[in-house]
Amino acid sequence: MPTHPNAPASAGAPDAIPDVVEPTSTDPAGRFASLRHPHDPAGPAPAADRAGEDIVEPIPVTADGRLVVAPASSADRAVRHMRHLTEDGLNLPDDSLIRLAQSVVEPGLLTRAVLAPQRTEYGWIYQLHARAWITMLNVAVANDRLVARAVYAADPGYSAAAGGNLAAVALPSSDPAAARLVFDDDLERILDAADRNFAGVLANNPQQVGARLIERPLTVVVQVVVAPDGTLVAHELATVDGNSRLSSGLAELHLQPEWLPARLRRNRVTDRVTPSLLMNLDLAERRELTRRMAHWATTRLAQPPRTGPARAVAADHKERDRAARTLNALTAPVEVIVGFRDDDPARYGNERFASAVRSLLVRMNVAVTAFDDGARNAVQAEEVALGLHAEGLIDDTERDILIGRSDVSAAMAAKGLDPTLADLRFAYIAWQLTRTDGNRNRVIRTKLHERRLLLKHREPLVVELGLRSYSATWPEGERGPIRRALDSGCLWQRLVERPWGVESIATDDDVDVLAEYALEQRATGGYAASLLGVLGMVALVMSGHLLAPGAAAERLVGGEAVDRTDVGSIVSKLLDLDWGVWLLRNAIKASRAGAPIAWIDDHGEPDDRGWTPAQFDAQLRLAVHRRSLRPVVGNPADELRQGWTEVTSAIVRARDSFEAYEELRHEHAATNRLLWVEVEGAIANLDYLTDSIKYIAERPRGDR
Amino acid sequence: MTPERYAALAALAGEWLLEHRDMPVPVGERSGCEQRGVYIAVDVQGRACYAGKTRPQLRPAAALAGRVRQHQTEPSKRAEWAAYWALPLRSDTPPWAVDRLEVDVCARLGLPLRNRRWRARAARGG
Repeated sequence: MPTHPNAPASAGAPDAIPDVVEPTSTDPAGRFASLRHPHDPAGPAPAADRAGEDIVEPIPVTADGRLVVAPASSADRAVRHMRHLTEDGLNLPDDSLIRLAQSVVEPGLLTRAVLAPQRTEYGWIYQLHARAWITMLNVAVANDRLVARAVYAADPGYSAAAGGNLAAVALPSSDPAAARLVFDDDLERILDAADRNFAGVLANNPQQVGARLIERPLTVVVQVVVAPDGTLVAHELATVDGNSRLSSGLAELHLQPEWLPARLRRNRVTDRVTPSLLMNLDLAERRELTRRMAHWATTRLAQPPRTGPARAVAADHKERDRAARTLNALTAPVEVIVGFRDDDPARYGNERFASAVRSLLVRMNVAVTAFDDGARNAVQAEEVALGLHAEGLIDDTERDILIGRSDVSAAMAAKGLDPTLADLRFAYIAWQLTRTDGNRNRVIRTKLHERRLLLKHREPLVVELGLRSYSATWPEGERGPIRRALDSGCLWQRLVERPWGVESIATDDDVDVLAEYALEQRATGGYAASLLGVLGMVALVMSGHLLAPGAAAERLVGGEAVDRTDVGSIVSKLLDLDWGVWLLRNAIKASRAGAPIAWIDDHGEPDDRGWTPAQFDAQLRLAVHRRSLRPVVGNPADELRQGWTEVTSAIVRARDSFEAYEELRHEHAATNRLLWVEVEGAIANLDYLTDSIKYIAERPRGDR
Repeated sequence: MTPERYAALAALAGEWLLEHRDMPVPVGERSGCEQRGVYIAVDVQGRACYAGKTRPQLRPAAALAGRVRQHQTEPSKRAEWAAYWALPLRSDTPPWAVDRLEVDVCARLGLPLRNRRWRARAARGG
């Protein structure tokens, strides 16, 4: 890693910082020594006074132990100082600087602040360290941890009005002139996304804040929401990393509705702090709310503990506890991103700032559980798309189709593809991410931090981006089998070995022509076969007719051996067979028409056998294994024959085991006879078998 | 083995059966011109003592006779086998169908598929 000439020794990359509060109460790197007050032994009343009770104590965080919101005027000097840091890399306009200065606990300390450079793959990011009021911060809008579960506008069935599901907001872009992220999405949608993100991390990854401070610094970036006409509708200091800690902190705060402006007290629940509530307050209102919270908690704790009836004491303890928790949760150390210097400013300007910030997040969360595989793959997939775009390997339209957060109709149409066909977008993504021309492989490898690029590295990217075309049709909770099937492996080697492409295959006739070409080019594994394969794979998997390999399939075909390879491999084998090509062709047509996918007869015509999708999957895997269409289930003679073979084989095995046992007795010279109770069960079973088999069998005459 | 038993086993081969050959063929003699098939070895009393299959890559003619001859290198088999019954299969029979017929035949005759323990004991006179 290149070292910045000015880098202080302690400002190393926070690689793999787990998103949990460590049981140490001091900052591990010692970066906030100047902002923290060492624990004062003469401070709060010792816990021993209330032995046996779990009472939370406020932990002092300022030099004098007091926690008050400084007057706005005291932020002015900090702003003036920060303006001088421009030469060192700070790049924020005055409105952001004022917001930052008014958000920190001790603006006076900012007058001595220096910038800490942090290396990313695109350039240097500059950070300021401070302690901020968490009410002045907000959770990330771009809900990266939930990114695999969101609903995307890339689904042709998506409608903005459909509530209930988490809608993915458009990715933020970089402010062309400042170190800020810009959202140009609908504000309502952003508020909704932020609230859901908040609820999601509280449910999935709650942190122990309140009894303890937020101990590790939150990484924060300035984020603005811009209306279509260019006016700035929201301005936030949002976390890039530390959503869970911030959310847990916000949830601990004590809020009384009368502290809020009257306009917010109507029509909404106002007894708890939520991201959307905070975003509805302007800077002064937020500072006022913070001041009241700090004031209430401090005053409440200053009152002497109550004595008297047990219930009154308990109520008093509870409220003191609440006040102490509020004070402990109210501030957090922050590393504010205030500047960015691209390695190639002449070419990119500030364009790669958003990617640089995001790359920081992906790297930070290497070891965090709540950042699940799907979400990480999704973020990496977007980064790959942005990386390909940054290298000029794909254009704006192609990038938009890949990422799919906004409506892709125009972009698809610009590429000559029918935007209503979700499978075409899936194929388009598969194509873009299996292309090997240019520097593509290098870009993808770098983004994934892999030395070699295998199919298994490309597959998660294709799955995450491709599924966005189905995110409204198949919400995450209902697409488990689909995801498992795709995750088993949805690509095959030929896709990366031979060049192929995506054509506008929009009508049934187009599909027929594509299948004809695929048959013709089968020997060479050409262009058409690959496209037909991907479209067919999507049709079969999305309809549940091709599932992840599992033992269930064999049970459905009477225990016959089936092909238990991944779905990509099944499709590639189908492409080698005449009937396989026909089956894929029919599947694409049926799936697009919303009709059930039928089996095929020997001439390639649909032949509906009334199978469930799972039975279809089993028959398909059986047929691929045998390279033959002859079905097993549904043929009574075959099933009976198979059944009798199983019975007779089991009897042969039983005799074999008995012979082995006899040999064992012989070897050990065992001459004792077995107890009757040990053998009578076996004898009863054998007698039953003998009688029953004789009963169902016809003996030849004269053989009785 | 009897012609009736052979007929029942031949029925299991179904569409893949090349020719009905319901007679024992002495070991060392060809039974016809087949490239794959299942055979049932019998002793001098005509009792089935082994069943196996052949589906060689090289596809020689009279594959069954060749396969039975290969077994003759084992003394116990040489002593025991007197003849074999052939279930010749079409040359385009898929491998899974050959495998399945072998399993079916063994199970129906009560012969172990791979295990030779019974025969080994029989050879010892046990």
